[in-house]
Amino acid sequence: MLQVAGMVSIWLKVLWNITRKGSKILTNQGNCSKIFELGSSSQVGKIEAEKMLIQMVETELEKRKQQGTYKGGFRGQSHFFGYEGRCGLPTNFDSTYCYALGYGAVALLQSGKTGLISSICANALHIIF
Amino acid sequence: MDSDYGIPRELSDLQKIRSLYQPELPPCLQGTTVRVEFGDATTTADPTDALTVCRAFPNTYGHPLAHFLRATAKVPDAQIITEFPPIRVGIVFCGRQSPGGHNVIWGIHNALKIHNPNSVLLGFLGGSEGLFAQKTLEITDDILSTYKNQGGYDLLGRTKDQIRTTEQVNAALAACNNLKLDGLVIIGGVTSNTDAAQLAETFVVAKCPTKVVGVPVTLNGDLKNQFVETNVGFDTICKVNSQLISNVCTDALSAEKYYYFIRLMGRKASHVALECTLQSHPNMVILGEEVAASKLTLSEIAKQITDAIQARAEQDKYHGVILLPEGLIESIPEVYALLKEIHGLLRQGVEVDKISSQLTPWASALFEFLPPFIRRQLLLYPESDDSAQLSQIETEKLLAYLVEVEINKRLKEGTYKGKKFNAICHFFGYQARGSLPSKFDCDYAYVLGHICYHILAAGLNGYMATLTNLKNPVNKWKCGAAPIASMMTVKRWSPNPGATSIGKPAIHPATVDLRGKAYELLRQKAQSFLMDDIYRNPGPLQFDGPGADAKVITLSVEDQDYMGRIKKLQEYLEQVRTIVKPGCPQEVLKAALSVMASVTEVLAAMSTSYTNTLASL
Repeated sequence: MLQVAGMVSIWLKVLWNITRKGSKILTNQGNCSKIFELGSSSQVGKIEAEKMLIQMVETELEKRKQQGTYKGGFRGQSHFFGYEGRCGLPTNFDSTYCYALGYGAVALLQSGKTGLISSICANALHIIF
Repeated sequence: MDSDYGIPRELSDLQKIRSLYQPELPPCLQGTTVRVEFGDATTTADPTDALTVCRAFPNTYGHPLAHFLRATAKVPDAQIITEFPPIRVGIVFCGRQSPGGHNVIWGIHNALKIHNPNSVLLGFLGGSEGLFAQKTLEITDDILSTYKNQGGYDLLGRTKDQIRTTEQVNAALAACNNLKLDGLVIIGGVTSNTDAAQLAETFVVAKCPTKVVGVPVTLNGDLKNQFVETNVGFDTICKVNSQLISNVCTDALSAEKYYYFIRLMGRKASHVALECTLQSHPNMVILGEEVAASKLTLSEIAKQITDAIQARAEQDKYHGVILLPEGLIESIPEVYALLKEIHGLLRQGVEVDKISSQLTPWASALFEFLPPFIRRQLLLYPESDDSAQLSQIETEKLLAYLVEVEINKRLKEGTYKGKKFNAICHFFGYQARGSLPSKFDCDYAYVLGHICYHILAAGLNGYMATLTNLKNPVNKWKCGAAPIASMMTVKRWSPNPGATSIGKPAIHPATVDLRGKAYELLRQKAQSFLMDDIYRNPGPLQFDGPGADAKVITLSVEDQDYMGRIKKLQEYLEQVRTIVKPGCPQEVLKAALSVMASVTEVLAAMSTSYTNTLASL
């Protein structure tokens, strides 16, 4: 919730700045309402920040075109990379790393420890409090 | 802008390793003593189309099949090409980028230099617009070194995928004449190869010496017919997408609370969606062809998906993965008709914000029913192949929205009692089509490039390079070429009941064959996919090990080797001609007549039956 609140406050700041400049981005209801609809941190993946940024860039470029400082075109294509990555087959590194961490966890348990994190670095199992 | 194309670039370790991979050539293309054998004259798949195609392409229709054979092949009348004068060849990327396109260029270049080091290969920069503007880059080994077996089309680039208007055709003609090209190779899909056929015809009429050759390169997999089994790029796209889809399946199974609606790039037909379904086993796929055949409405599709979700909910499953081809939206009759109206108005120059008020009443009603984001996307100007901008229309969000509406309705009625429906939407397209090409696509493209050379060496115009028997290893592939005109069909489309108009001949995208083995396989497994969560992760695209040689299922499951069979038939006919000669025994002659009569009778009946079947569709 803290994370979400932080993100909302950031966007509120951005929106405030946009409002002061009279940007037309506020006419787009879809993206704005999505931000304020947040109910839990599990919805972070649904915030289409990339589309927000594309629209902001379009607005900025349009402004520069009117000022004469920009003469090209712009076509933004958005895509969210998330769900298709997080459940992939693990790499050899991740397989080895997690196997070793599991091993370390058992060693900690057998040592009667509690409240510790198992971690690995070159040739040694380190204990972090 | 031009300096961006063809520059050497820094490759990663994997890219370097891939750039060193040398595809194998089938035995028939090895060395410089390839033979060309001509089969019978070709015809269209549907006999009723033949006359129309013949009228439109009088100089390039009806030409014979070409088979390329090894030097030692025992064929009586095969031509041995012994002269290899230096030739100048131009090459254009016309279609959308597909993994493997670069290897076609490499194959042609390799074949040209082997046969005569003085031959020249010119790449047109920026695709068809580079052709019109005569902007070229001479292809050399140095330039090719960092593009071999690499994805994308950035060696030469591409722009508008069209060589069709009179102005465009004239510009292409001028380019070929000015550059003194002996051959022009056009790399692309159905639209680009249709344009290639038209160009070939135009060049003959204009007495231009340039021969036009097409290459079947398209990730959509829809350039499929008797002569073409699959397309360069299709193998890669399906493998990359299947990895992403199966990762999402695992994600769905892990959290058990989301339905993922995934739209797949692949234009109008559903080949990519079908193949990815067979590889990764998601819960559901809606094929555009099924929707068109059953004339399903938008509401009926949403209901179908909702019924599936409800069936799973009754087993306490609230997760799933649903695949949607991007062409689905155009397969829905009422949306298709709406799009036709919108595109018609756009072409008349009507402004976007005034279109909704000029629609017919029923179209206007449908338009108002749709959510605002879809309305904006339907108003986009159509693509160069005259279809909607399918990659930009978020069909997956529309369906997720409609499904949610339907579920909420059922909750109120009390017919749905499960948990809340959560949908997450994805479009898989751009990230797959830029992939490093698979081993199969590298091999396939490289060999096709070699065949292009042999087509030109044989002096053929308006032909497409073909390879058959692809589900077997490279050394079993059959090399040949077929006139592009023979791949054409004539679509009969009636905008009004009773009125019939005959369209122009073209290579139309092959639809998924609802009577084919691949579709049959899907139907057999559909219920199990839906309920049992038998997700399958094929892993990332592999270049080594058992995964490297995996073929797409829709290729492996079908029984194809059309060119090989045509050749075998020819051999049988030749044997009959040899055995039954004037002077042979009376009994032999009688037996031959009897057998030939019944074979002819059966074939004629089948041909008539086939025509009637098509007519009734």
